[in-house]
Amino acid sequence: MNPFKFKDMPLRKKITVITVITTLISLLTACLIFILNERFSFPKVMIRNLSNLAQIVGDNSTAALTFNDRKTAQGLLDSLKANPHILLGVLYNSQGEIFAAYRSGNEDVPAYVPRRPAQTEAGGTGADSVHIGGGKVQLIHDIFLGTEQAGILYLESDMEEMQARLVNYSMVTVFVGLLAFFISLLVASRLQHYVTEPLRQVVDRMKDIARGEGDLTKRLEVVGKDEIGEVAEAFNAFVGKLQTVADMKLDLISVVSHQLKTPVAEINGFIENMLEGLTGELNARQKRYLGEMRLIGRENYRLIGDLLSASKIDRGVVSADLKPVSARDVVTLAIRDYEQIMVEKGLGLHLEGMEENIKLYADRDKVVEALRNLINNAIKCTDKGTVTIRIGTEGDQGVIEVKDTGIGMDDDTMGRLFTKNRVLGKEAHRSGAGLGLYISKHFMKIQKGDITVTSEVGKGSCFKLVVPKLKEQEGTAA
Amino acid sequence: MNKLRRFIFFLVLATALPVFGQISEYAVKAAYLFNFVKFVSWPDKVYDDDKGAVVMGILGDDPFGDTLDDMVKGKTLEGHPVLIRRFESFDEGQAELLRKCHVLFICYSEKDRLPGILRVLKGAPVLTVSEIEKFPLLGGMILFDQEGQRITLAINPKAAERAQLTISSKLLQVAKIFKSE
Repeated sequence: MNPFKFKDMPLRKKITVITVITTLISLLTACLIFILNERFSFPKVMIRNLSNLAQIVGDNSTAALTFNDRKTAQGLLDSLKANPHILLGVLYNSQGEIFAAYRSGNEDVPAYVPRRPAQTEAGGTGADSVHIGGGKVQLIHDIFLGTEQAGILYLESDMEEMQARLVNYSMVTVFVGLLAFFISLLVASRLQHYVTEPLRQVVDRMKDIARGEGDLTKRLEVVGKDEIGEVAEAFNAFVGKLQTVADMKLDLISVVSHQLKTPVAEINGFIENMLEGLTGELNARQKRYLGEMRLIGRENYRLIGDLLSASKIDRGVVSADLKPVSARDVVTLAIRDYEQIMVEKGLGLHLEGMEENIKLYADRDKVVEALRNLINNAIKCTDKGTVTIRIGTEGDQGVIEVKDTGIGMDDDTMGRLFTKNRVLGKEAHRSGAGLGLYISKHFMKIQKGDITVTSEVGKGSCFKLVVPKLKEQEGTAA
Repeated sequence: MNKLRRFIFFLVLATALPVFGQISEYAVKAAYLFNFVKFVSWPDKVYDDDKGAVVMGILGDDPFGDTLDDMVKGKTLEGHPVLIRRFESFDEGQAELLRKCHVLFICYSEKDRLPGILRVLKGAPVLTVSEIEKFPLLGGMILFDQEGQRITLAINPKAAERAQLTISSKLLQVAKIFKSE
C-alpha cells in the first residue's frame, strides 16, 4: 500500500484531496479567465484612455494651433508628464509641421506625422488611428476646429502598465490559490469525518462480526439513509441470509444425528449380543469380523454423539447441571471403558493423587465426557509408553491432568486444537470427527472450567482439565 | 539683354517682397478674424437677420483686400453662412448696421473715432477687433499685436462680458489678458 497513490489512500484523505483539488481547479480557472480577460480587454482600456487623453489635449490646443501660440501648446503637451507611461506627444499643425513636442526620455520625435496603420486597433474614440506593437501604443488624433482640421496630435505610450497589472494579477492568483489551498484543506479535514466516520463505524462492526466466533445474530446499527446506511442494511440482510443457512445446517445435522443415533445403538446392541453368543456358537472368523464391527460401531456412535453435541453447542441449547462431585469418582468413571483397551494396546496406566479427596462443583457427566475424550485421544496418539492421570489442585481450582508419551504436537496444531475447523484438517483421520476437543472445551467453559494443553513433538502431550472446587456454602446448599 | 532681364526680375522681386509680406500678415489676421467666431459664443437670437448669416463687418480702410472674401467663400461657421459687410469711415448713421455685426474689425483709419464707435456699439453683442494700440484698454475686446514676427492677441474679457459675449478659455489661454477697471 503506497500512501501517495490515490487508490490506496484512506477515504478521508481522498475526500480531502478531492475537495482541495476541486477548489483549486475552480479557483484557478476563474483566476485564469480573469487574467485572460484582463489581457485582452486591458489594451482596449489603454487605447480608450489614450484616445480620451488625445481628445482632451487636442481640443485644448485648438486655439494654440489656430492662433499660432507654440508656448501654450508646449505647456499643454508638457502636462503629459503627469502620465509616466506617455513616451511621446507631438503636435503637428495643419501643414503637418511639428508645432510642439513632448518626450519623456530620449525618444526621437518624428519630423512628420507618422504613417497611419492600415488597420487601426479597436477601442479608440472617433477616427483615431491606433497601432500596437513593440510594447508601444501609437495613436494619431486629428484635431478639428469646427469642420476644419487645426492639426494632428501624435501620442506614444508604453505598455508597462499592462505588464505591471498582469504581474500583479498573477501574484494575487498565486496568493489566492495558496490561501484557498490551506482553507479548503482545513475545511475538508474538518468536514470529511461526516462521511468517513459512519463508514469507519460500519467497517469496524463488520470486522467485529467477521473476527468474532461467527456470531451471526449480531447486526449493524443503521444510521441515516445515505449509501453508508444502505451498505449497513445490505450487510445486515446478507448476515440474516447467512444465519438462515447456518441454522438450516445445524438443524439438519441435529435431525440427521438424532435419526442415526438410535439405529446405530441398536446395531451395536445386536453385535454385542452376537459376540456374547446369544445367537449360538461363533467360529473364529465370525468373532473376528464381529469384533471389528463392534469397534466401528462404537466409533460411529461416538461420532454421531459428537455431532449432536456440537450442533447443540452451536444452537446454544447446552447447559450445565452443577452439583458437588468427587474428582476421584470422575476419574474412576472416565477410565472404566479404557482400561481394557490400554491393556490390549500394551500401554501403562498411572493414576496419581487418587488418595486425595478433592471435591468439585461441576456437571459430572460433562466432566467425565471431557476426560474420556482426553483419555481416548491420549491412547490414540500413544503407541508405546504410559498414560498418566493425576488429580491435584491449583488455587481454588481442581485439576485433572492427562499426560501421554505419544507423538506430541507442534504449536500450529495446538493453536487449532479446540476449534471445529480441525474436522477438515489432515489429522482428522486419526481422531475421529475431530469435534471431541471442541465439545470438551465448551463443556468445561460452561461450568467455569477450562482445558489447556502443553506438548512437545515426539515426546508427548499433557492436557489439563480445570474445574472449580466445591466451596463450603455450595456444599451445604447442595 | 540678359542682364537687363535679371535686373528687372530682381526689381520686381524687391518690390513684391514687402507686398507678399504684407499680404501674408493680413492673410493670417483674416484667418484669425474668421477663427475668432469659433471661440466666441453669442447670445441667441442674433442670427435672425441677414438670413441667419454670421456678419463680419470691416469699418474703415480695409487692409485685407480680397483675402478675407476668398477665405470665407463657401464656408460656414457652425452651419451659418458668412457675410462680409464693409463700412465707410464711421458716422452715427451706421449705428444700426454696426450693432448687427457679429464681428467688427475696426481699421487703423478709425483710430481717432474709436470712442464714438465704442459708444455706439455699447450693449450690442459685437466682437470688436482692431489693430489700434491699447485697444483693449480703451474698451475694445481683441487686439492684434506683434511680438517679433509673431502676431499675438490681447483680450479684454470684461468688455466681451459686457457685450454678453463669452470668449472660450482656450482663446484666452493664447492671448494676453487685459484687466481694465
